[in-house]
Amino acid sequence: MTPGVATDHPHGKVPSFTFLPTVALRRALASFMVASALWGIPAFGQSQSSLVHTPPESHRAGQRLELEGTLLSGGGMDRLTIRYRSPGGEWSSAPMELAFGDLFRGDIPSSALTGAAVEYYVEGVTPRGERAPVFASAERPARVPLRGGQASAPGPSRAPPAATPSPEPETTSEEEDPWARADAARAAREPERASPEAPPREDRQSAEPSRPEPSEDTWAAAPEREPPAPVPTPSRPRLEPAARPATPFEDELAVYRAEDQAALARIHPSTAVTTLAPTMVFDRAELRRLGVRRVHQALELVPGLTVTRTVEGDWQVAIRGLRQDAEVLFLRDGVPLNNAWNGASLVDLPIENLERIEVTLGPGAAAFGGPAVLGVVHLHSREDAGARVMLGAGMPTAWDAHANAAGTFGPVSVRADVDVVRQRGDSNEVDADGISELTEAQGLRRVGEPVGYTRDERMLLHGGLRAQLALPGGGALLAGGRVFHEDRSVLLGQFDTAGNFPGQGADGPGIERLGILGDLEWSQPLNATTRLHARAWIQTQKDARNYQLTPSGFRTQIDDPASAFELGVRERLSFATRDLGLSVSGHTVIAEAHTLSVGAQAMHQALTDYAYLGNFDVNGMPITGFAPGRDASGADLVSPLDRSGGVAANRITAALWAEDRWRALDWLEIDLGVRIEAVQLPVPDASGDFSGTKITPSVNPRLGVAVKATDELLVRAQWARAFRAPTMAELAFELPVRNIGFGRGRFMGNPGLQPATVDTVTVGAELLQNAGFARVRVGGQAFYTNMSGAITAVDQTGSDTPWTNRTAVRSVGAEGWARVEWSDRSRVFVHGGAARAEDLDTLPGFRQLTNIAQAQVTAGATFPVGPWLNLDLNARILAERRNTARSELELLRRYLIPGYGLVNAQLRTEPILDHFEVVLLGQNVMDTQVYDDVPRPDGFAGLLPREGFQAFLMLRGWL
Amino acid sequence: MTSQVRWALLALTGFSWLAVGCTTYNTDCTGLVENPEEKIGYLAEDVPLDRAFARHANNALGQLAADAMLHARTSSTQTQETELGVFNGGAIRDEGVCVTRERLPRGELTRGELHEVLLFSNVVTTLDLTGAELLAMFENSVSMLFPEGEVVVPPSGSGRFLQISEGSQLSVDCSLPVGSRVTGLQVGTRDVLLESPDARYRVAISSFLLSGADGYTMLAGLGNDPDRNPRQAIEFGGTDAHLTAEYLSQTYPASSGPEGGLRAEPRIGFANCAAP
Repeated sequence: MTPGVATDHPHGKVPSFTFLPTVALRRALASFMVASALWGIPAFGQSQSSLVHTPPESHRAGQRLELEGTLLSGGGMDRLTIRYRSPGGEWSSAPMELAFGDLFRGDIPSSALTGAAVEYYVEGVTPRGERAPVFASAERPARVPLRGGQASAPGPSRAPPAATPSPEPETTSEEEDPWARADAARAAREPERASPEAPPREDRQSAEPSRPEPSEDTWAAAPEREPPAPVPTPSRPRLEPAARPATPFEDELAVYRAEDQAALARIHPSTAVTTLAPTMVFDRAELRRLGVRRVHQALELVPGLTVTRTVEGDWQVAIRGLRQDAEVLFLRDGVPLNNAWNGASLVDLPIENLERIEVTLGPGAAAFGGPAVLGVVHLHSREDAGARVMLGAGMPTAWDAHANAAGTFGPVSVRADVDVVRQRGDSNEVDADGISELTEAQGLRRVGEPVGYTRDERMLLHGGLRAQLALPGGGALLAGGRVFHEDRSVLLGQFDTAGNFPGQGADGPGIERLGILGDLEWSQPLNATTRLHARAWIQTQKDARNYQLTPSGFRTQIDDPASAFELGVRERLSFATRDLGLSVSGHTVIAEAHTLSVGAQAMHQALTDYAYLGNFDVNGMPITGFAPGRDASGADLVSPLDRSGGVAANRITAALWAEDRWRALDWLEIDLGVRIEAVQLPVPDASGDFSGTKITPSVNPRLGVAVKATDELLVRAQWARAFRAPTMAELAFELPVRNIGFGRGRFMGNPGLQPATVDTVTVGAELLQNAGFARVRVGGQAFYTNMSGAITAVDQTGSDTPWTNRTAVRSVGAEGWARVEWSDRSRVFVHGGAARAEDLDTLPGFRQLTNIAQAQVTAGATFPVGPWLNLDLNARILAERRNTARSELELLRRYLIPGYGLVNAQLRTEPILDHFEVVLLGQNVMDTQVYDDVPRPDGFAGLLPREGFQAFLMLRGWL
Repeated sequence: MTSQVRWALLALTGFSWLAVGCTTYNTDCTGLVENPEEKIGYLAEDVPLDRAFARHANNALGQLAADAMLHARTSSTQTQETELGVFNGGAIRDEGVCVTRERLPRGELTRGELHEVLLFSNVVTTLDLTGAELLAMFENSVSMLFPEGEVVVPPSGSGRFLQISEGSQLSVDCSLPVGSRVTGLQVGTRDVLLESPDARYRVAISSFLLSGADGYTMLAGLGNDPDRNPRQAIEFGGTDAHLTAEYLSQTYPASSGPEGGLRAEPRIGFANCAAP
């Protein structure tokens, strides 16, 4: 990779802030438009390392050296460490942090840059603690001469890797050396940066000493300025020497060029386990810049993802035009969050205590099974040393408190986090519902009155604790636990009835969730190239839902007073699940650019408690208290726990997986993976029940190829097959016969459901350019997903409808992004996705699944407002949504949700006294009225109102 | 405005234009059926679709569907001819895909129009019912009819009212208490009230009713009872709407004209009942 794009500039001039005229960017944008997609794809670096990184040709002694690099996906590294020393001295370490998207950054502190040179290499660490050099090595470190340093410790001369020649420039005075002048400019503008005593800052951009922020005037004036003269450098003979004294602006440019010289960085980070699929990463600094408070809000900004709410208030993530809870795997620190009953996860978790969020589109790595079909969302808890707290308050009434801390005590490292969230939430009017006419006719509301209001009250307690014991020989033993408890209102009602009626007290509609996660992890190196890893985990969840389907006093038979329900028609659904899992894996480096991982997994999932109760009988008349309903034969509904011996309430999954990652050539990497899985599934009998279980095997291969077309362009293709088993609910959920004239049309279990097979093909490219002082990343990928036997709910009868296997559902589209970053405080991005999903089981002309927005675009900008404030803006646009038309009923229940745009704005201070940060966040600042689609089994085609303008004031502090 | 913001807005506009411009949607305002414009039948009279007519009176379209179910072919093991077809009035819809259809005007009827009106895709099953079960079924059918003098405003749930197939007769008296309103029931040549309650009749019913919905709890589960010899319709997807469309095209084709077209017959006699 050519260091410093400015050297490639055809005019030999340093680009101005108006970067578009650069050929590089025009090329990038042209590629972006043609590809109509954006995504991150790794570049290839030097042939013997996994980090794309170019050492600086020289560096100013006593000045912090910032390094950036792109981790090529091999090896499953998710942490990088810089190992540095004066030549011949002892090695010291400094972490590299995962920055925005897929960028790793780290610093060699100024205190280490006092000799004639500094040597360093970069080491990668996998989640299992495996360490391996990814750039240079201890034996062959990169060496950077230090200008103005003392040649007291020259050490042996070692050449850096062949691909990164590092000619020794002459040491010059600042007047003669533009790099020295740039350094001087940097030092003059940010004395704290030059000072080794500069206090540490809290997050990534603040973890490093503050970058010299151009003043507001500088940014504003930049485009209008004449492009400054280029800065000469002995190593860049194509550039002309400066013809006149440098202006402050030119000094600024020099600073950034020097940083560019340090690295042109772009990474495509792997997830916690090796993955072939592209992964979008939001680190904690980026999460804060995005102005999000919850995980689902961050997910909304991922190209290809849209997030909607159900009438119950749950959040659902749609990926590439398809939306199924049970097809998106959610992990917290490696432990699955999806419950075994219906595959749903608690998506509404706070982000404050997260280190990062990784989103993989498609099935992901072979180590992932279960719901990893459409995508994988991995939440990583924060674990860096120190203590942090955040207090926030907002409107509509909301209170947040979050804290996390981590420390090391001898061989034991401990981290903990806790979230407390209380919100009254937004409330919106609901004009009508499926029983509007009945409630009006019965005098339960006046004509024209709204039938109800959405309620979004919530109380969340959430915390985790994790301890790690370092074992002799480089091993580690980890134990962790996590608990969450959520108590909240039902947003609208169970299906299409506004069931939130006041005056119900504690017995009113609501949802209560309790989850406990625990894991025990062990890893140990066998030798220098092989490491073993084992993990056992448990996950239990309890979910209790209390629904009110009608107002108090409602009569199911309008003329029969005996049919009046004093407290309304009600239902209660509760279930509890438990997952027990065990995995073992081994990872070995076959050759320097060839790694092999193999593993085995076993999991037992169980439904441990279940109840579906109603306060009505089969004739729709009220009963005392709650009781199980009856099935079509008149018998009491049998719980899945007891039905056919509970065969649908227990499931064993066993899997073997392997992934081989091989850089065959300098420009070619091949990834092969396979997951062989056996799932215990119930067998249907002729009566529509279960006769036993059988083991259903599946072989799920994955193949990935990456080709470095040029130094700046990488092309990658993947194919992955995944296995999607029906959930317990999809097999065994039963609804009682209930003659209440409404409330039918819900979806129920189908014992005859078969697993689905999902194939995903992705082809993409990314172009990376330095445009002078700016880093530009433009990329895109196209995808094709085909789900054979897709498990889908299609209302065809207006009655209780079973989930069914469709012949095939497919989705075609593209995603991508473009990003320009000038500094940590200044960047813009645009990314989005478009998907066309179709259900092939219906007639041509009716196949499109349009209830998910087919296109979404997000654009954002961060820029400084004076030296102390930052303004973060992001705007999201979603295309129009309409009802699907897979059945006559869906066709008939027409709705149209117009496309809309949402704007979030955030004012964020720079660190105050190095320990505080204040944030004022406005979400949906234009108070745009937004709706979500909802299932309308009763044929009522109204829509679900979503949150309006919300504002939050947050104070963050750290030690 | 700084240049980066300008460029961000420009890029946003460009990408939005590309992305949103690529969105497409399903066919608009057309029934979910192949050849929706195909003329498959002829209505000799207007067929009202309002609830009051579909659920409180003899309805030509409901009778057509019941006839189609009566004549639906089942599996080859069928040993007994179907004697009665019933079709619930709630399955006749007036919403329309894009416009509410108060009625189907007399004249030619297209396949798309028919599927807009008969939009449920319930599987048709033929099985044995006893005379007692038939009576209970029809008592439930007429339980929500309005007595004479009241305004027919069918509430939710009145879709249970059954249209019956040709050759059968039902008499109902709305002045009688719910549960004893059926005063006469003739299935073909058999008088149900005179025959033994245990006598069996071969009846074609939709899966919706066999699930017990609309109050037909007396039918719930019978579709899975081998003793009732349940057989599913095997032609045209076996669903009521498609069976009806094909039966219409064969019995009342578009070429029928006013004389041979479909019209309602007085198969159910109403006494002391409100008229829609």
